[in-house]
Amino acid sequence: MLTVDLERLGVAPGDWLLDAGCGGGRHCFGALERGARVAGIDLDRDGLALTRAGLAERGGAAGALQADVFRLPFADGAFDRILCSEVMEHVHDYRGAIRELVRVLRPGGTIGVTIPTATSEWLYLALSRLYFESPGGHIRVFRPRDLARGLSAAGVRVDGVSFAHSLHTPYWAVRALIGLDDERPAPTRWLRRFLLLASQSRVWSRVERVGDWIWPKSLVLYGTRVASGSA
Amino acid sequence: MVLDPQLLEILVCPKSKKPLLYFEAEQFLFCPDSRLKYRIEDGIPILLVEEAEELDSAGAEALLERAGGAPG
Repeated sequence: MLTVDLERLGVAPGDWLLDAGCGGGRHCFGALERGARVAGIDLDRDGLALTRAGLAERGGAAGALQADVFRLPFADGAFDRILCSEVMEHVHDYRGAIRELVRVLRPGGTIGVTIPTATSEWLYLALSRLYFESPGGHIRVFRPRDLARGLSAAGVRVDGVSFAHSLHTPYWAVRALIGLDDERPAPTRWLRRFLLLASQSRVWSRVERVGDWIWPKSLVLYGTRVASGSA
Repeated sequence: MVLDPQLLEILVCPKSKKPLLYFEAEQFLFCPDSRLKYRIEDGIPILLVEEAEELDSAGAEALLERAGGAPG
């Protein structure tokens, strides 16, 4: 299941899409299957290897690159669509990261940025300090308006918001409770298995959409880069 | 593993933001402006400034000559 809705982002055949923080490449694959040209970047080499292999398998103009969101290796305005999933909570200067993303987005192009919801983050923090103290962990609890302000300051008009992944909320609560650094305990494995099966089930997808109104794990802001000068 | 030519068109050096030269046989990218050389491992360009190798002006010129002049 994709965090960012590619339809809502307006991904069309021939578009150049940047997936900043591509992980194992699920959004990249979705965009490529819609006929877009895709660049996936991440710092994690294992995820990039999966992304590269998946892109090569599907064919089309695409690539996986190791790059830093603060120093993107792309020309100004190179992309029609940008998505950035679960990156901002890991970086100190999120405003700088947003500015650099917007630099490579063409005027009129669209961007979707996801962050964990503050309520779910406070829950995990209450259950385990490790959630914020482990290396590569989250460093900040975001409020949606902070992200919205960061986007506006960079010249992006915020068009809408959506919520996702409520089924992941109990999973991370259990992880925070019984061990974040250990994926082996039985409840963790059962819940992972459940999430995998649920992601393929229509009924559970519906349950998740209802849950997204109550206790979502992620929040997505969608925006459009306004023409330069009118920001 | 060859880099996609369309991807190459939008790639720039993360430091200078200038176009990169692609050395396909040796699998690296080079920026004549910053003189930074970025390796490509298993088809994945490592476009991190701190991981790049900075060439001296002689090394950079030798590379440019091999590439047949300045990048377009």
